[in-house]
Amino acid sequence: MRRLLAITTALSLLAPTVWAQTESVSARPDGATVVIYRDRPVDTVALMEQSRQSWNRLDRQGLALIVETRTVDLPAGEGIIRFRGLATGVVPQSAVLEGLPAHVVERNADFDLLSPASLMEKSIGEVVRVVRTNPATGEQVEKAAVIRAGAQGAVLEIDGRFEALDCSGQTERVVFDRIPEGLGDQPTLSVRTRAERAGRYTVTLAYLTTGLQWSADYVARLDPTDGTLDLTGWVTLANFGGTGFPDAPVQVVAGTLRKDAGTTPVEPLVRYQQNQCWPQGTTTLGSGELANYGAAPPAPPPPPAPAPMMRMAVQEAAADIVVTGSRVARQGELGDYKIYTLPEPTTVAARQTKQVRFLEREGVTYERVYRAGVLNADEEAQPTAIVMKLRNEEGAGLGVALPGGSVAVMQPDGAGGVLLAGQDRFEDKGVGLPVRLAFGESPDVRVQTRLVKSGRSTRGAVTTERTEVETTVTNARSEPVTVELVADAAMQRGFRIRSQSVRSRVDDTGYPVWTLSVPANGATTLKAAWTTTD
Amino acid sequence: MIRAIGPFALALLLAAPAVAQQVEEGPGGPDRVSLTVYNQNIALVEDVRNLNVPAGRSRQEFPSVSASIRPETVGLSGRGLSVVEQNFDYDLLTPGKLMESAVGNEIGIVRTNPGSGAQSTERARVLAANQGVVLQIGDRIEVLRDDGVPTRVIFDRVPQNLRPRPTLSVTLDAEGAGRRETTLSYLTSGLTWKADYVARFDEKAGKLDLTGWVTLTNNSGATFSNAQTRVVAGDVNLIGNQGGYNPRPPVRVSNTRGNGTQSGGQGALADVYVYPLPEAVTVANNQTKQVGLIDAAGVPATKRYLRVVDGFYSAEEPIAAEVGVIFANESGNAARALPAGVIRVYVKDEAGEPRFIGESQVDHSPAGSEIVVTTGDAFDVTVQPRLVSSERVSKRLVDYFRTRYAMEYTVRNARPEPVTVEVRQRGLGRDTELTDQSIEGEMRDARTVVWRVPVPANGETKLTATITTGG
Repeated sequence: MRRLLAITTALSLLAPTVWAQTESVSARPDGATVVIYRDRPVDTVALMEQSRQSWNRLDRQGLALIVETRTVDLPAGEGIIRFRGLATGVVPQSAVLEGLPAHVVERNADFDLLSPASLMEKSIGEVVRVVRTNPATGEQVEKAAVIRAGAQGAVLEIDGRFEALDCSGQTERVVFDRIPEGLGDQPTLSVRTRAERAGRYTVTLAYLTTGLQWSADYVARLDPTDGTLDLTGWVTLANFGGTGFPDAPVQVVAGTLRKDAGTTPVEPLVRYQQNQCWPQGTTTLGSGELANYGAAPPAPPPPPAPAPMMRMAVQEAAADIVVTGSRVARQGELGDYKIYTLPEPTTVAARQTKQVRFLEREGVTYERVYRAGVLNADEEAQPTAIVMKLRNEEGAGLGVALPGGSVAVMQPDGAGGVLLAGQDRFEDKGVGLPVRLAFGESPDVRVQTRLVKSGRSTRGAVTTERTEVETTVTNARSEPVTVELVADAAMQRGFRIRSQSVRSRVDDTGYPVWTLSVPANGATTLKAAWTTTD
Repeated sequence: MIRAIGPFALALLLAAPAVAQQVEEGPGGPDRVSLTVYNQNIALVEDVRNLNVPAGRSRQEFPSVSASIRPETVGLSGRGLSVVEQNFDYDLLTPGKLMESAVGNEIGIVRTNPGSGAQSTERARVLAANQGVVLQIGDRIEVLRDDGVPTRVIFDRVPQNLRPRPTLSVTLDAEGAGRRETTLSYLTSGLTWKADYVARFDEKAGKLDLTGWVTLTNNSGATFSNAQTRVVAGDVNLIGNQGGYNPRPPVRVSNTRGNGTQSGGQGALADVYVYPLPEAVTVANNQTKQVGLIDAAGVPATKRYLRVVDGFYSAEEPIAAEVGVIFANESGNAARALPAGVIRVYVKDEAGEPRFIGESQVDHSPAGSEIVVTTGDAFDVTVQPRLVSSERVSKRLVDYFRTRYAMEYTVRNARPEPVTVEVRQRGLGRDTELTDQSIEGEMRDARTVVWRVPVPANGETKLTATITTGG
């Protein structure tokens, strides 16, 4: 009885799931829908740059919802259903299982991975076989052994005496009869069920996963003759995970959603074998080749790598880029977000980048202006910023949700080709919002502010400062331009415009702006005075 | 139970005699174990074993206690037992340690001739194991494997103090010999829990269905089989370093602390809530286990748009409003304390399929709390504040900082239905006066004013207000 007790308790220790009556495995989904989110703006260029770094953890970033349909065999009575073939970045606590007519007692995610070290560690006390090969005769001798110590150098008990594995210089290996319970090749999700009767059911398994990201990019082709542009929007899908989704309906969700810092996949625990043999020095150590004959000083233990080995492959970004431009993704609503459904099911392969068009608009009106601040005296003429203004309205040829992203602006080069005028990015723009893009500075349109008069008067505890400026805008271009001058002082307390040669108005940035038309190869001057009271 | 273990039992039966020869390992594991798991990466283990204790002093080993045990918290109790001392040995058995402990003793060596394959066995005394092993074989002194020839070393015994795993041992003084039930209790790190909720929100019906799970994570290094488990919600005071490196400390960024005043329906113990799991579970090492906690359908819920504006300024770009789902755990199945965790919100898309829309942390919420789950930023609802003017109010020096701010907030809505947006202006100073408000505001507290701004479908509302404050 005493021994029996010891065995059962030892067993329950080694084999936690041994009590399970019936186990069924769902190897892979019948089909999956992929919904990719973003919790921050994603820049395609930066993302691609990052994916080329071997240390990237992109398989741990991004967020997607995977909705799988699976056919499972529900065992009668108490049973366990294991789900395999999940995305590698699965966040197990987010799983939602529907359609199973059984009481789910518990859900488990096991992440004890099979490795040489865990195999040895978990087999302590087990009977194994040691196979030794005689180096001269090739004869193999097999002996039964009990493992007495594991991952930091194996100690074996053979015939009641003790030997260390791999310290003798002889070729020897350990043969195990079975894998210890609970060790797997990848983290697995399972449910423990209790059901009246067995049956085959189609269930829906939904879970969040990391490793998938999406970004939006636009290409604008300018037509300066009529002040319109053609806008094309592209969605870039990137799967940095190790799981592909063949023929999956794919949706991307625009809008910044809140993600909790704890929503990350479990870090599977991979133990490293650290063989600590006894001191291996000899009288000739380090003085000749002989010392290296099977008796090299013990190598330092491998540093515990931050990333488990199975993830290493993920980081070798052999990203495969696919462009599918023939069809356009359809926009719908999801709560307060915009959801784009790709025109047809597509295969999002592991380590792949895919681009799909989601927007195509022609004849969008735009306005190109030059913008500069008016605040202080300038020593010399300053360049102005080139700004392109769009209104996201139907009247202006747009009026659609614009997920934030980068815009590349192309303009004709006058010889039948196109030039890249510049790039900028913007955040999510709903219908009705102004869109403002900046493309660097213009050397041709310059601004110089001359402080004409600066005064200060004090009445009691109140100080009033008066500033009078004269700002000259010069245009070296062969066409007239529009220049916006911003009164930067507007945020100071008691700001009031006292006189102005051009009437200012508050524009959509909330600042007062003077708008000047400057003739081709000409100049225009603004005269303004304001006071601030403090 | 015994029948199910056939193939392994055989292997163990083979192994058992060999084990019995050398090291007294005591019983293999607990007969009964109960776990009380806290949110703060700590758990109380109560481990009951039926021990056969000889009279007087004896040493008992407890293998298979948690590897992350805090040995200073160990307590042992049993009929007629008193504890003389407790030891937690983490001197692990490795080949190197085995050789060091053989210094001065005899070992067997087996050399294999690399040319002929012939094996020769000799006895040797280990003289030293420093940077190499020096042996005395008969009257010869040699260095082990000086010539690189494969040489096996055979030890007669393993020292008592070297163990394959860290082991707890207790020296007991017992009154009378015999079998008795002993309870070993200790704290361990590596076990933690939190709650995970799924809220299916139906905006049109103004309801949500809430499902909650207890998520238990075990990184302690030990498996607890068939453990009576309960989890404790609420923070107990812990001091100092909890020992060891914790790869994933529980992240709990509090955003709301529930303010409910109903009692929770679960046994409240020392101002914490205790949730016993319905049945014994096996908490395996390196496992995340989830067990159902709450299932409540039809909880009234509303959606809220919120934009907090800190200070008085003009934003050059419109700022998206935050979307929050608000409900209370005050009625029906939901009328109970909710332990801290993450609430994930799902809504139905146009095809009727549930889709995730965001998640946020909630802190421990007593029953009757209002719970806000912020899911993300609205695409179509924005607020753009503009500082129209700011002026000094008085000419007196003592009022230098008192300022009258004229603010204008453009609240835009690109959705096809009207919405109400809560605009919160923060950063108010002393003696705040609100005047010329286009919508009547409400002081949320002395530093915050709140306006609820109705915005028509596909339209905008300009909220204006003059705030005189500070000084």
